[in-house]
Amino acid sequence: MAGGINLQTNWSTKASNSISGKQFLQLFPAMAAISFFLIGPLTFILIYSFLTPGTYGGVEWQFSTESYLQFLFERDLITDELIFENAYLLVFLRSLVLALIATISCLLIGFPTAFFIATRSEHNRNMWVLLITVPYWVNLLIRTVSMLFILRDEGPINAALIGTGIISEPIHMAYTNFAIGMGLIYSYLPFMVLPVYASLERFDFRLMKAAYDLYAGRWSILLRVILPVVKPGLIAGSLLVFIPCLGAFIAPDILGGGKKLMIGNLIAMQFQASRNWPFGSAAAMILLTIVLIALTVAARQPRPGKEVA
Amino acid sequence: MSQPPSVQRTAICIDKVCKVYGPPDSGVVALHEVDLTIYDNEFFTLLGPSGCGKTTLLHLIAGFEDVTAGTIRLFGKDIVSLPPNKRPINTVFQHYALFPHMSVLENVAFGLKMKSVAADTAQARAQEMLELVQLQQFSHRMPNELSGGQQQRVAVARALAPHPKVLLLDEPLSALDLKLRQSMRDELKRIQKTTGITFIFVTHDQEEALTLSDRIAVIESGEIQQVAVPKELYEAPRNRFVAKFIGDVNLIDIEIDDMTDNGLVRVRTKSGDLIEAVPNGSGHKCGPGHVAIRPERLNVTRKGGDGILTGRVRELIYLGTDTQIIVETEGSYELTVRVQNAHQSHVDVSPGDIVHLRPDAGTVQLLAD
Ligand SMILES: Nc1ncnc2c1ncn2[C@@H]1O[C@H](COP(=O)(O)OP(=O)(O)OP(=O)(O)O)[C@@H](O)[C@H]1O
Ligand SMILES: [Mg+2]
Repeated sequence: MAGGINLQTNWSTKASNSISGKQFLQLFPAMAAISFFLIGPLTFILIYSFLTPGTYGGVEWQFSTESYLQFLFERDLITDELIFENAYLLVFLRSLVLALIATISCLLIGFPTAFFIATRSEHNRNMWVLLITVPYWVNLLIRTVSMLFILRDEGPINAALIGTGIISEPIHMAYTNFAIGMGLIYSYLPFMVLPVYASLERFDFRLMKAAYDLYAGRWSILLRVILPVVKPGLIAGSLLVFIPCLGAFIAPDILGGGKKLMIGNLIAMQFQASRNWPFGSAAAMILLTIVLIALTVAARQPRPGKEVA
Repeated sequence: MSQPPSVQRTAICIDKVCKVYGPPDSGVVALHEVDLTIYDNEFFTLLGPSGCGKTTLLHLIAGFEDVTAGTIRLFGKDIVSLPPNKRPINTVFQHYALFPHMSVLENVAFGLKMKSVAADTAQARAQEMLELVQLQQFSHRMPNELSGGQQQRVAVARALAPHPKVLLLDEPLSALDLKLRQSMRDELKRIQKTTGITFIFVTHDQEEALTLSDRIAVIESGEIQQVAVPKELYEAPRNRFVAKFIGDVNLIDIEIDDMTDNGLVRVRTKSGDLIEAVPNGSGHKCGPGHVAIRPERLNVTRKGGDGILTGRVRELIYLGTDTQIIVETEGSYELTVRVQNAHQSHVDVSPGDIVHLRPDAGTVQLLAD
């Protein structure tokens, strides 16, 4: 029955278990770069998160779990008791919620966009993909600041609404969670559109015809045929949006006016103004843990047949 | 094998259907005024060369395309305005189009699920269909774990599961290798017999059409050339296209001379031989025309005379069971004769010999064009 599958797994374990000398040489540059630029700094951060902050930034080489405790508790200055403190937890929660909302919004906007592009003629598709990436030719900071100009009280949206007499007082959008969400969606939407488009481009649209022939209506075709088949693209897009949104710090910094902190801001602050490197490192490790959990959940999704490859 | 009796129920009636892709006045005309009647329980085949409009006609019946003009009736009910998911007609696609993320069983049960059939009934019915196509032991495999022939059978089971009134099959065997194609052919015929569902089968393979079908419609350039049972199509082709498309044939330019008293038409070839041809019912005036004779219907004889063609042997081609004799006539047209090697005595001719060829009675067919 499962002969074909067994064959495949055998083959892949064989390939991953025995790396020949030549293969090792081919892999070496990539492995060296990853070790140097990823594993190295990560090890530092992990170590730093268990050290004591130095007075003027930096660390003192003394083991401490204080940074992790500081995340949830405040130490009473006199009695040295631990008191539950949710300020940092709220920052993480806000980050999670905003990142989730941004991811879902990007899915809702990105899927129809990708579907539209994938159903154009081959020539037009390339043009649309190019257009999707156009905002990326401009620096993220500038794009975020322009979003602020659009959303602020004197911005074009409020001006138009007041001008047409729909409202008399401007709606405060700048420096709110809404503004941050808008900034995140705007910044990361293409990371959703492109992988979903890549899946849809390979999607066999004749399957839609087959489903239509077998009495499926529009929604059934979408939910039972298209979405399951392009799921790998949806998952990839969601990860590509969710992960950077979670650690974003330009959007909350500019659009949140520094008042609505996200994890990214918290970490940046520890390394800059607050000079608490161990706490910054601990926050970064917690962020990393959340991301790893998200990735594990995504990776456990069963995928249809050959889409794995 | 004869013309279906008129008491048979009409399953599909295609009435003056036109299809133009693109703008009606400047688009591609895929079908011109097609009229067809397909009976209930019939294995009906649309046969024609690539691009003649077979798929287009199937898509109009399934509902994937809208007719430009005309009507299509299913058991008397006009269906042209119904979308595909509202027509009790299912399709077996040439490329199978199995859902890659569903198991074989889920694929087969899909149509039933969409018709809101209760889950356990749907399961049982799907299993029954898999038994019909002899794939019951594969129900939990994914489509990409099946061979091409098995995928094809799943596609057939999936299309049959919701009990369609008509099953459409668009070149379902063309992606299979020769051996598999032949066994699938028998399988399809058996399935059609067992289920009693009307099959409309599309192919450009004449052999497939002849062996499978109750009746065949030959299509060319969006027009129906002839609708007939296989025997009639082969033995009494209506025009040059049909004669050439089905099997090997000798097409001979002739002048129509006159009618004989036994209902045959006397025709004169360019080399002056007089032969008798079967008229095709559409009334003939004297003048130029064509007749068709199948190579195996010509017999080599030693003596000439009335009703006999004469020529010089140019070439003998040995074909295993048969030998093919190429004969050049004075009218500078060639005739191909095929003799079975079992009848050795007939083949003792050699290139350069003058031979006389006698057509079997009633096998020279006068064509409409
Ligand atoms: N969507 C379309 N738009 C424009 N022209 C089309 C379209 N589909 C088919 N045609 C044209 O209509 C004609 C008939 O096409 P159709 O697909 O019905 O042929 P077919 O008989 O199925 O051929 P084949 O054996 O190659 O499948 C062809 O000339 C084709 O180019
Ligand atoms: Mg076709």
